[in-house]
Amino acid sequence: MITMRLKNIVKKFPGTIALNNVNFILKAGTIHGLVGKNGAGKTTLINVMSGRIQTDSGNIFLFENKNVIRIDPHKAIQLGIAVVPQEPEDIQYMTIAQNLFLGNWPANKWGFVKINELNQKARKICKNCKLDIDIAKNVSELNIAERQIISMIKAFYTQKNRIVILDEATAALDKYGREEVHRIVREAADTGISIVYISHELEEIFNICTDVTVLRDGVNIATKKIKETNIKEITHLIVGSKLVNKYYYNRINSKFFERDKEEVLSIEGLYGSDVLNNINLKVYKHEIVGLAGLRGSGRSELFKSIIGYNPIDKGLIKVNGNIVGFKNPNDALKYKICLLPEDREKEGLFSKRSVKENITISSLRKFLNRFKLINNKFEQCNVNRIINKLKIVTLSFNQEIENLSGGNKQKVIVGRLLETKPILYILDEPTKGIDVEAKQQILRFIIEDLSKEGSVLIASSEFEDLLQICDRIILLKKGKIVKEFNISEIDEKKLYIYLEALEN
Amino acid sequence: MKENNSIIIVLIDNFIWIIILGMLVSVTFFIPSFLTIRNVINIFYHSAALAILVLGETFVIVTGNIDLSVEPSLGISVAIPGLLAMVWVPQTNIPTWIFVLIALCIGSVIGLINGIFITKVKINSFLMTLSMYVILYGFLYYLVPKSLDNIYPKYGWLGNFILGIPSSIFLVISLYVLFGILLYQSTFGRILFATGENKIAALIAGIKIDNIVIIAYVISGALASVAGLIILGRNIFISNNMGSGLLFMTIAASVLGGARLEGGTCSVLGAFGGVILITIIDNILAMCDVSPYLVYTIKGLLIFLAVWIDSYRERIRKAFLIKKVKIIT
Repeated sequence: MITMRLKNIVKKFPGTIALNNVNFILKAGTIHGLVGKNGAGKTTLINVMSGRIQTDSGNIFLFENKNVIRIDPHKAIQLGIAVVPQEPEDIQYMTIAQNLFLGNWPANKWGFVKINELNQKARKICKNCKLDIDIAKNVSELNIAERQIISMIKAFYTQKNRIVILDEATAALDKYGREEVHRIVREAADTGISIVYISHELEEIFNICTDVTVLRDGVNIATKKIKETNIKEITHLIVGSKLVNKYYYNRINSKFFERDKEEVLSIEGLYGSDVLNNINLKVYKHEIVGLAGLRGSGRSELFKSIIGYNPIDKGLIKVNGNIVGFKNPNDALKYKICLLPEDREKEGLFSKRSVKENITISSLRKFLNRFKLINNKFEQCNVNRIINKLKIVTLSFNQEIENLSGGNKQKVIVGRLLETKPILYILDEPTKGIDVEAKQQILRFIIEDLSKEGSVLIASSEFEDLLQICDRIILLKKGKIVKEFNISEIDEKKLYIYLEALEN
Repeated sequence: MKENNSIIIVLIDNFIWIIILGMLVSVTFFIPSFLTIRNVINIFYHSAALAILVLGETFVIVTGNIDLSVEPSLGISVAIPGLLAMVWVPQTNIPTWIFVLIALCIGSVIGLINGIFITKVKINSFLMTLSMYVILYGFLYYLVPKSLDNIYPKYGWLGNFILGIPSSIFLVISLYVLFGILLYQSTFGRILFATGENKIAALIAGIKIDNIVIIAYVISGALASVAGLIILGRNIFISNNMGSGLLFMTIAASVLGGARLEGGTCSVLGAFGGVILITIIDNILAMCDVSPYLVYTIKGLLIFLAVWIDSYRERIRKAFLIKKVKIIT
């Protein structure tokens, strides 16, 4: 029986087509794997399924129903469609039982919660799942795997959903936690629930799923039965055959590519932020080093530790050969090391302030006149230069930055780094969530300008970006450096295969 | 902001002055004696202390914090040098500049303590300064159980008149210009706005946000003692309820002037507008012989009305800006 059918779904965002004529069929009692690179359209597709975004065109049919359905988040709850995200969305100070029945507690006629009945119901559900857990415990005492299992049981059994989407729900779990999750998911599928399973780890997909769909660039490349395919074929389908190393060749011919063995940054045995595990890393002058890793690999934590935003437990950081221990990013700025943070809105932008102020905030000192006040003309001149250089689309430098598009916002932060003239640019996902044109501009800019002025340490979960610009790529997994490649010895397929093979 | 170069945006940004203008026109229509030079000077004279308090409070509010302790710190920073000169060591005849210096130091130290506890110990600014409010008021009542009314007139120099205009007005204008320049033309001002807008981003951009917040509190404390000196100049006595009731007016004026309590936005000119508006309301109520028991209610209602009207400003501004951006792109 088909529980959900998507027909010719199209969804456009400014500058990009996120979903292009996607067809998708979900059958009752199956576990349907959804795989693809970052930016392939997986998130958009599940947002369409769960009604969080509306499609531009295409139809959705549910439960053998001949009528087209428009799903919105409210309707999704009524229809029994739920998403279990990577981070459990539970209430920490409540018990497991309270969390399981959140919003649906049994109450007497005065409106007081019947705690015994609640606990009984919860106990029964846990027993049915063969889960040995004290339901009166607070969720805050559980580990991440247990919390994730509780969210799944809630989605499967207490909310009685018919379609459950697991959005990288196992990304943060270890091997044991995963096995437990797999058991719960299989049992749920046996009761007839349809499950969409998203994961970056193909081994996991092959372990648990019955079908698999591959998305690439917003297109449904293939849907296959797991029994009729293998990891190699799927990897091939995910990556495609496109060659992406074109910028690299430009760079290798340019005279700026001379790796003089002058160390700019050297990290020795770094531990910290709960994930980082013996990080050893060197960055040379004018070099672009890529840090490849998925969500939760610890790359943001590493970057924040380097600039002193996160504390370090153990280890040495050397800049130009001097041992430094930055207590805060201000110290790092004095050594001319700047971070472009991963979360643009929360960690990067002053959204109500102007483009000008956002660009010059880290480098105000150089615009001061003899009265120690800001020299407006000099500042505006510099800002205009940055705007022209980076091709930032804005009404004027006094435009409030919240009115700019994602790509232009990102360029403003790149401009901010540029104004401080760093010796090391640390870029955390500089191409995340921006349109294709802005992305290419930023990548080109990294090669042509940033690496001329200093070294670049860049992280991205989009490996093809790294392959386009990096001299060296370091593979990071669960806080550990697992492999290092020179650009000439690696391509995207190999990178993916290594990422798979180095599981645990 | 001028660069958004449409008149409408400028008008929306200075909405408070439109309200004031409307008020002036209608009031002058009903009470012709309102717009006499004497009354205008009177309004400015009575707004001086509030204006100084608002200036300091604005610096704190723009960082996303609040300072509730300005009212008692105004009293205490004047009371201590006053007691020193009149009671504790009566015959010393402390020079005025030392008197002023002691007052400023006390205000700044109170601000410093607030700032350090809020940033380093991470106590919520509301609770910290509320505690400070209660502590200081208690201490003030203990120090000055009944009014100290034989103060040397020289300590009330801020109540003097220059060319028929109270010297406090000159002080207010020069402080507003000075702190306006500090806010809009200095590194400190830029960093202050950025810190208030987004603390995490400010930290990552290399700003020492703790120091910025501490400085803002010190400014607020120091300006509170200036306000104390102004009130002393007006009254020539020190009582334990100096400036009582000014706290609410201070915050109301800042918000009316365009400051958001979440931080990141404020306007010195707007804050001054807020002060003028509130003082005009006071003045009108006094001229209309409203029963003193009703004054607070009516004043509260009028300020509420102004805040209510003002709450539409941001929305209108946003709608207008979006329209404009759409036309261009």
